[in-house]
Amino acid sequence: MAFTEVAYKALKDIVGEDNATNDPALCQAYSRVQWLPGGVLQREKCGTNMRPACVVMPGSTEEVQSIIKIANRYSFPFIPRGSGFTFQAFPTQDGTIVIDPKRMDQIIELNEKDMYAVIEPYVSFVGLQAEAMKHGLYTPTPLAGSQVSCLANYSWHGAYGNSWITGIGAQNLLGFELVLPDGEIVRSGSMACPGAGDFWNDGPGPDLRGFLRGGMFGHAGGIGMVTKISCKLWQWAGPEVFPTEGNANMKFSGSLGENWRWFMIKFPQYKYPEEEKKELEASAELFYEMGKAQIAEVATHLAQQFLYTYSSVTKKDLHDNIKNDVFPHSYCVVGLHAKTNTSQLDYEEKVLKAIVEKVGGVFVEEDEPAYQVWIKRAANEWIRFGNAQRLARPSDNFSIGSSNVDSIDSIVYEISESNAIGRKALEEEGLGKDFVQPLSVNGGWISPQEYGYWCLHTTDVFPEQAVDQCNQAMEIIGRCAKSQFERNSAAKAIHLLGPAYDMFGPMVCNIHHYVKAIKREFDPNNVSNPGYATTPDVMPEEEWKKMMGIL
Amino acid sequence: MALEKIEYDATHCQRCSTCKWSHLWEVKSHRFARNCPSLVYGKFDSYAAQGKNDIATGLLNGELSWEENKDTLLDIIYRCPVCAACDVSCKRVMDLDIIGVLDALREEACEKGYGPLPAHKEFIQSIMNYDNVWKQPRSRRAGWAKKMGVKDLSKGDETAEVLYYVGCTYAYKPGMDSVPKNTAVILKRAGVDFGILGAKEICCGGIADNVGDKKSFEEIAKKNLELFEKIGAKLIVTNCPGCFMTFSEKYAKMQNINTSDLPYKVMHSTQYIEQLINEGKIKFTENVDMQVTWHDPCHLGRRGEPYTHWEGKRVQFGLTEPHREMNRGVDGIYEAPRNILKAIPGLKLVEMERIKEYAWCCGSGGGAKSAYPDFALATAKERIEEAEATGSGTIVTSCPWCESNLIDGIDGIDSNMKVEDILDLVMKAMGEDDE
Repeated sequence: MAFTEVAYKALKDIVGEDNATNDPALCQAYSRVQWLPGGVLQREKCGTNMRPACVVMPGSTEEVQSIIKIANRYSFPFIPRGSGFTFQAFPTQDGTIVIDPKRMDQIIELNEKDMYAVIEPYVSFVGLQAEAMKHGLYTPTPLAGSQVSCLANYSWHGAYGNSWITGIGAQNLLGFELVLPDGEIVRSGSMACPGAGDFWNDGPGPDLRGFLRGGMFGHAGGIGMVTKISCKLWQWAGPEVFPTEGNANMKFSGSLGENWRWFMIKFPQYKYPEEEKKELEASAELFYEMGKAQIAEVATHLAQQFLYTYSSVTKKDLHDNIKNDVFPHSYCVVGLHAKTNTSQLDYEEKVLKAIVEKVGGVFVEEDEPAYQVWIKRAANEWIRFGNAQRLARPSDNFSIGSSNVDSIDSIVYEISESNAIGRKALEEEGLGKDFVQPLSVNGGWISPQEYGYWCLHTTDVFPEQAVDQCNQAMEIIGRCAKSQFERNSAAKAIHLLGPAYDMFGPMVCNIHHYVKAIKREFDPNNVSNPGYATTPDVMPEEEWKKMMGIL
Repeated sequence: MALEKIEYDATHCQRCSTCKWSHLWEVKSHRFARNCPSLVYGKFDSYAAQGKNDIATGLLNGELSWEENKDTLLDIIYRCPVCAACDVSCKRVMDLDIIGVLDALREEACEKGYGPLPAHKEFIQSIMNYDNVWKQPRSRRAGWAKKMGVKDLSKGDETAEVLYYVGCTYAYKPGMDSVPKNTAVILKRAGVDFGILGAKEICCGGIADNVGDKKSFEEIAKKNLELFEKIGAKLIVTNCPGCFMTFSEKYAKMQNINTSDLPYKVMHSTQYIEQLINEGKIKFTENVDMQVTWHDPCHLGRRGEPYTHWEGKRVQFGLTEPHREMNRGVDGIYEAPRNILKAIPGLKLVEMERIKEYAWCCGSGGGAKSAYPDFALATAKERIEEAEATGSGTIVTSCPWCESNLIDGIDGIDSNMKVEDILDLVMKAMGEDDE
């Protein structure tokens, strides 16, 4: 069965006439993935019209439940989404409906004492953070941007500017309410016990967080729809209103108050990029020592591609900065946040200085161009990410070239290896010669998590939205992934979603069998975002290659 | 095809949703975090800039057709005040001409014969027949000026340093003639040599351009340009932000020149009065003990920037050749009205959360008020609630469309809020208030 007029009428009966549409012009806005080479290639090569058959806007968990039951009754696929900024939030099959959660946008509770919030799906990070800051609390800031859905980001994966203390999204998820693919409602953590307070993920109810997440192996809306979460809030000793200076064109990082200090650290003794690995190792040492001392709120290592993009005011400004070599190499950025008093800040600064000296680092001076551009323009992004999409500014397209989750040491290895693969492909075969360079081969965001207990990295490439360039990007991405798998490297946390599970699952302890078994058990009619997180059955190679645009 | 001009911009939208929110560093609350009236009212993403990029892309590549989707397309395209809040947000992260996309969709609708909407056509026809949007006789245009001793420059026997251009709505709309009267009093008190065009004043034509009817716009604009040339206008002062934007930005764009290359200079009355205050020609002698909040009209702010002409193409990486300086909403008129309010003794200005280039639109612009009054009203209500949150009892603005729509919004929600034109307060502070 497919999506029929009868099914459409049933949906309208649930949400009301004004909150459902099958009008092609209204559904068009839910039809495409504009970014990532994979998305470009899928569109170009498969010729798939990904416009949904219907978009429906529920106003409550009960309405979501009813929608999902209708989907099972009439056997049509549904895809829940947050802000829609991910490629798995778009239909891959005819007759798919999209559940747009805009009517579910309430901050249900903001508990100052127990430091948590209960929110609905369309609450953005920025909305929640703005409210939390009034209470001396704040949220992490996602690299996808503070405009995205807090619930969707936490439920899937979430990587943050301040992960040094907050960890990834999953660590911030305290409880959730999930409408399963068959319409049954489950609640996790203390949210499962009415009146218990939604403050604790381990109980007194069941802890089902693993159902949703797991590093980058997220559910991707493939196991129902999360309708409510309880999430952790963090202590904020900065101003009640996020400080900002300048106008929309040139916005400066405002003062975060006396309880905050930014530092930029470099290792100029290592020639870049020839001695990149040594610089990365020194950075790792810096993070390990900081972790031991348990200092700082933000600790991150940024390669040129992140420094140039996130600090850009315009596309021309970005390319001019590259020409002017404003960031001649990578830098570490550290933010100290005194949650008790300024004596803590003085103490942490003293410790940081000792550590930097020990690991052979040098503080970047205020009058250096790198400091002027990064700290003045972009440092506060690591508290509230206002300009995430600047990552696409170099060429109006980008893709994650490699990504991994492991120890800091392993991440250092992965970054230098990925960059080496990119450089070799460029030098010997000309692969990526039309990308924005040297940004596409000088990659590496080291994001140590939870005082360096573990770590995440990404390197990105910047092709234009041309099929030939996207093919080259996919080739480089594939080589990086292959290298990781051949070395049996750590979690190999490439975004294993959709057909990628079938491609890489056999190399990752057959994880695809595990995820497929969950999918079969909980989504017997395969209506919950089919294809994501994965298909119920193992796909033939030809099929997944076609889906990934490889054929 | 109008859409071909903006193909790159529409097709390179990353659908990141930045366009749907105020600048994220500026957000002060969950309640007032959004920036797009069209999306808040229409809910579905097609009403956002991201969706309109998808619509333009779909029309360009054949996924959508005008013939099959005309009614919804027109609704999506025109139920939008073209306030440019999306454009400002997007340009923070990308270099895409979002306003160009919105304008091109409207132009394309007209090229296809589907646009503008009947309510817009009525306005445009009225301009053609009566030189004003309100179907009023030309002879009444300067009715407000009777017995005020204002020069009529159109007669050709007098000249003046300043052409005071009144605009259709201030000239004709009942209850609004206090603004030109106040202007004339203030200018006289300041010793300014000024005159008006009297019954010969012609609508600026901005509405025609706003709704995509380029042909009608050009016809009207040419008449005005001839009139300005005939009387030798060097400095035009107007109270209406729509007229201000049209004379400054649209007339330059139509002629493929920069605003700075126009044969005349245009100033909004708030700019001119600020200048007169700074020159000591206007003095505030009376206390005005009230707390107010200022509403930024979009056509004065985000869309009030001077036009910089550009002809070129997108080259590698989407860079432009020659380099194109895009408008980013920052060079509009934001400080002049605030400086006037701050100069008034006893008056306290308390800002709303969304101000200047991030201001929430009143909902009236772009032909929205005439074609979609319910949408315009809902958008105004949102602004009134934001103003109420400041604790002020009065919204001050300087735009006939904003003022009118905000008053309608207040009536609709039974609010005690009042709306005042900034010149009412200037008059009080000058001791010229009749009340």
